[in-house]
Amino acid sequence: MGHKPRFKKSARIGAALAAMTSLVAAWGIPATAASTKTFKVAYMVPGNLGDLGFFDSGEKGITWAHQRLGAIVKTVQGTTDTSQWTPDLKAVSGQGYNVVVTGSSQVAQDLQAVAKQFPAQHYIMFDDDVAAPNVASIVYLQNDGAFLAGVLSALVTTHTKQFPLSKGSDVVGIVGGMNIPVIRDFVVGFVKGAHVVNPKIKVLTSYVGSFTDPQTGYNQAIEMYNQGADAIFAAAGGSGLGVLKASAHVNRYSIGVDSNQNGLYPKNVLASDLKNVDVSVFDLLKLAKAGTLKYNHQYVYGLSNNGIALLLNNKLVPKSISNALAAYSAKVTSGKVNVPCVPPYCLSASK
Amino acid sequence: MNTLGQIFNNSLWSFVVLDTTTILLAALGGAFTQQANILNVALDGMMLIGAFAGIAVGAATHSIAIAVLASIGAGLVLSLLFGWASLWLGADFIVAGIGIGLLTSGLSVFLLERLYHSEGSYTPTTFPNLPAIHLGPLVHIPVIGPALEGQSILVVVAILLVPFCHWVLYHTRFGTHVRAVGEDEAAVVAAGLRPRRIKMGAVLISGALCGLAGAELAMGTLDQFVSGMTAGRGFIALAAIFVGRATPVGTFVGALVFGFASAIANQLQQVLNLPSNLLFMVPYIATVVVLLSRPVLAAYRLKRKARQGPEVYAGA
Repeated sequence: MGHKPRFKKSARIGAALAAMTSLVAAWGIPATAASTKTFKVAYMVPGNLGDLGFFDSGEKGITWAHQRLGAIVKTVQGTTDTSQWTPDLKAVSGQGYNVVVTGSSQVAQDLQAVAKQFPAQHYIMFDDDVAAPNVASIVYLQNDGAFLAGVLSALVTTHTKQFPLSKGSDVVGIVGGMNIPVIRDFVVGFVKGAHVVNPKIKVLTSYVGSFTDPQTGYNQAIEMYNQGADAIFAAAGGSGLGVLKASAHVNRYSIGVDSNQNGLYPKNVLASDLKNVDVSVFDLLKLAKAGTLKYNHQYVYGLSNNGIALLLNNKLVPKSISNALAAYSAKVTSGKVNVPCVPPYCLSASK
Repeated sequence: MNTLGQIFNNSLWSFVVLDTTTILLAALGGAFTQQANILNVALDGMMLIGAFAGIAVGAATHSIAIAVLASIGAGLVLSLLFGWASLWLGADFIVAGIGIGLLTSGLSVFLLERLYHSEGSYTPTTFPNLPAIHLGPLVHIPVIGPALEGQSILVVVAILLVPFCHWVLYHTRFGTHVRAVGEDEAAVVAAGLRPRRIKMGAVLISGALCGLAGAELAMGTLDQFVSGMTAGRGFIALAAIFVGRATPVGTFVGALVFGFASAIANQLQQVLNLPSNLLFMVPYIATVVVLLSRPVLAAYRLKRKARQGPEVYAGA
């Protein structure tokens, strides 16, 4: 006797929930019914294309979806006017697109709000985690990218023939923006990369204390070059531009981050540590088309699933070195080398 | 001993000069407004716009002289706005100053976006160099030689401005008026002068010198603009003014304290591997200590005098 009413109650709740879900699903029908045959994708860029990095890479993934999945695609540039992003996201939501793609942590809040207003619209969010039942997120393992930068720096200081500006000092450096977990995650990856090549290599570390202070970045880099560093990795946002300038000033090597900075000082910037937004976005779009994309789920991209890469400056980095880099990268992929991490960024790559 | 040698190496002195110069230029400008009894929190913003204008104009014209003039001009335009809003329209100095700061950080990003389609920074591919100091054989003078060798000409300008500002403030009619308007505005009015005009003069000087500070920051070594690149230097300049009680020489000492502290903090981080988050406080702690030392010393002297004799009443 005691069980029955309780069962009934839970059944009633279950029925109500089912009704609600079907209601939500019904709400979504106009948006998806037309698109059962065609796969339509919209890309909202919270910024501008033409950054030669992050957003352009996303656009490449969208183009692949068009070419290889036969998707109908549309790109909206939100410009850097942040107040425009929410309206732009709304403008492409509920318009019959199977998936709306956007990315960068700056747009996360806008998406969080818009995704709630359009529960039937599916979204792919890259480079930040948005927890919502209709959003699939992509995050990247920065320690993997920093690992490759560490390997390249170590190869620079140990291969003076291939890198004529290198003194062979066995000293490399990393300048971080702030002493916070995400940057320390870069640092541990970088140190590991350098030591995988040669454990005797000395790694200098410093933090600028700001992401927008290129002068201090410059000063710290100059000091590292004075201490013999042959290559410095700038994991410091805008402050890192001062690091790259310092490398040009002393005529040694540096490695950029986040966007393609190879052209800034083409004789000195060896590579840029980039997220392969293209690969990850295309992967998820493929899953979305097949109907197997998991929403409210975080997809993690690192070296093992080709989500991170060093964009090399081919005029400075010879083929033999890029092959060596690929070999070290393969060691991570095969699990022979474990790249250390700093919590809460200790995730393992998806699949 | 070896570690000490590593910290006090030649590059330390050049970093001290680099870190001091931008702050000094802005602080000398701020000394004028401070003397005129205006708390100028717009220093940072005027510096930022000076940096932007210098890089934008230098990249377009390939002339460093025009670039520096553009920096000064941009600082002047903003100070005109600051002065107009506060002196003519009666806005509170602090509110107007904060407004200038917000305006410049937004405006510079907006212009970056419109002109260069880039959100955070602009690095011109070629940029004219500021003339550099070359000391020749004098480079072997300890400390001063390595500190100045290869620095931009604006470093010399900043150093020469210290006695010049002193002269203007204490040995010219205009300087006397500025100090008078700061001390007692009513007396200035009674003397038949126009305090608003005098204050505007001080505001314009602060704008020009902050523009110059921006020029040194963007073009001294970097030749690039990064949004928010002043990183609070304008506010440190304000602290330097307080340390130096708004006298040019005292302000110079204040700027030097901060420049030295931040340079040494960087060295300590790299040489001794001390925790960076602690070291970031060093320049600010140094500023606070210097600010506090004066009243503490004064109180101590007062006490000693009080113990010695009764003439202290005259001062109290």
